[in-house]
Amino acid sequence: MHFENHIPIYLQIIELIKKQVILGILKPGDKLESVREFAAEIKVNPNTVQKAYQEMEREGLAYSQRGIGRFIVEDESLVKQLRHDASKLIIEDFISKMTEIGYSNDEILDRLKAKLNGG
Amino acid sequence: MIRLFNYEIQRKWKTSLGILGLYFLIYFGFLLKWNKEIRSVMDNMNMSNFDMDLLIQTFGFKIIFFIILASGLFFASIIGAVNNLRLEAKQSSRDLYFSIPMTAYTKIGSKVIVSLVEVFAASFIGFVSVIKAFEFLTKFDIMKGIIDSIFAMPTDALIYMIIGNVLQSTLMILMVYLSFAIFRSFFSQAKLGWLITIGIYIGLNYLMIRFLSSILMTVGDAVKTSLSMWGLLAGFALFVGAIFFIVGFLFEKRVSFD
Amino acid sequence: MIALEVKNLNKRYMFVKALNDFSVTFEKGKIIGLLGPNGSGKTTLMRILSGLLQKTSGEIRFETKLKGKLLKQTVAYMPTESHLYPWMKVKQTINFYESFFAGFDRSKVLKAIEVLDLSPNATIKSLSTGQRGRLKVALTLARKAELYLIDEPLNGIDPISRDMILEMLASEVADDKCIVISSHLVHEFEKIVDDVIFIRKGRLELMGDAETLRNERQMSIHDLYKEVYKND
Repeated sequence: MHFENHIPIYLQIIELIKKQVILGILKPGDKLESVREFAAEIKVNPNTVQKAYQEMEREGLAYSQRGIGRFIVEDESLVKQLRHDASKLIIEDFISKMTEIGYSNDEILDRLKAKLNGG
Repeated sequence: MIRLFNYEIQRKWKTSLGILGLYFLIYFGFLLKWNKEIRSVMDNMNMSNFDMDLLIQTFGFKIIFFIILASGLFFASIIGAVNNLRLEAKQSSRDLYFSIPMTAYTKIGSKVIVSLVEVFAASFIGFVSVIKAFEFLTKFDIMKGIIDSIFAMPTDALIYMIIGNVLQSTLMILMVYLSFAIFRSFFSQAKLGWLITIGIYIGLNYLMIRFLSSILMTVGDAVKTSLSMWGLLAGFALFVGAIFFIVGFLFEKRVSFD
Repeated sequence: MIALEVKNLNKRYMFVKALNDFSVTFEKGKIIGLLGPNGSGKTTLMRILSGLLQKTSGEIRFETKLKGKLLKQTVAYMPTESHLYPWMKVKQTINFYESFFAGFDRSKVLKAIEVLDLSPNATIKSLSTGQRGRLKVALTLARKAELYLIDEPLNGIDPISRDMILEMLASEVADDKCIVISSHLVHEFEKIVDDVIFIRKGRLELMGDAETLRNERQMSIHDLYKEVYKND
């Protein structure tokens, strides 16, 4: 796993897990790997994974059961919500980049439609 | 300390055996070679045509050769004794050795003991082999004479000599180790370390001679009674012990490996 | 839990002060990155903490009072150079460590070097720098200590071995020990450290939690490093 060094790594770990949920690799209610196992897998400091897991609990993305482990929340609408959040960032980024090179909002729509219709 | 001895043996056995092997190779090589030459001379000589000059000519150089060879073995052991600590403190492995969880007293003690064994073994082998070479070549039985005269000595004189000898050799080794200790405690990052260490060694010896001679002056009269002979030995042992303690203390608390 | 507290540590050589009023606290359960260019005092600090160098003044306090033998057992130092005996075989070196360091975990070393495909009969001298580098770290980490001081473990090592060393170090995090790693190859090892300490000309320049610093300064520790030392 490659992580950027200019963004806190624990945040990137959270993003990684969110993506896994969106793609269905991790399902709501699934058990997360133990801190050490996951840390060894993605080759980071276990403390960083611990921090990520704790932040995920705070955000309401995961919860922990003493003695058993950590789980993704069993929320059916979770996947939809995460996908929506992720798409928001992508769209905002897209629009700002297009605006930067001079497209107006209407022109952006036209370009999108044309591309999606096979242009 | 046994673990340290294991380590020392592991470190040295190959070179030690090699040097010993080389010694005996040369020793036996020349012994056998010269034996042939000598036989012809000796077989022709008896009490009637005894020729001293010829005898010395035949044997003199050869015996001296064996004495020099044995001295070489002895000096090799001295160098070994010095290098036991010198190399240990100089090579990069020192970071490993000096971080072993044992007091410096134990470590230095083990090195002193190993060095003493080396030096005494070399001395013994050298001495006995020279006598044997002489015997072999001349067919004179000297060894028996030596052993008899040793056992003729009073036991306590014998013990006194042995202890005195051990103490003296220990002191000799400790003076070298003390030089290393002082160097590493006060001059650890100076250049030309070897030069400074030799200077320290010379200085220490000078001091010791001055110190000991002034002590001997004061106890000179008391030595007349035999009780004080042992007192002198005990005092000497204490002195050697004090030097050991200083070396250990410096290595435990004062030395730096830069 | 604190592994070690350093207070006003000074180390003066003839005309140079290698460490200047240096104070820091090392906590257990963390990996701490000691960063700085060559000659900034990282090695001096480590060698003083491990007892191989004498300090000029200052205080070094462990959780429990430590002296002599106990200190040497509690602090495991791995120097940059190869400190192993070149004439020893790999198996002899492992036996050496096991016999002198109580609590040495032989199986940990064997597992680490399994990947290296090392013959136990190979001499240390015959190993490549990468193999030697990984063996050194494995041996040091297999020791049972409270403070591990790893001095520039990545220098002169090939990229694959570097990764394996970093993995080995990252997996060693535990509540009963503190691992301090010094390096100036910040880019490679910044992602495994919890805290960073920047040392400059013997002084403490900057210190903090790595993730917090990334967040606050909006840059990698590597870029922060360049910032800190840009005028040197």
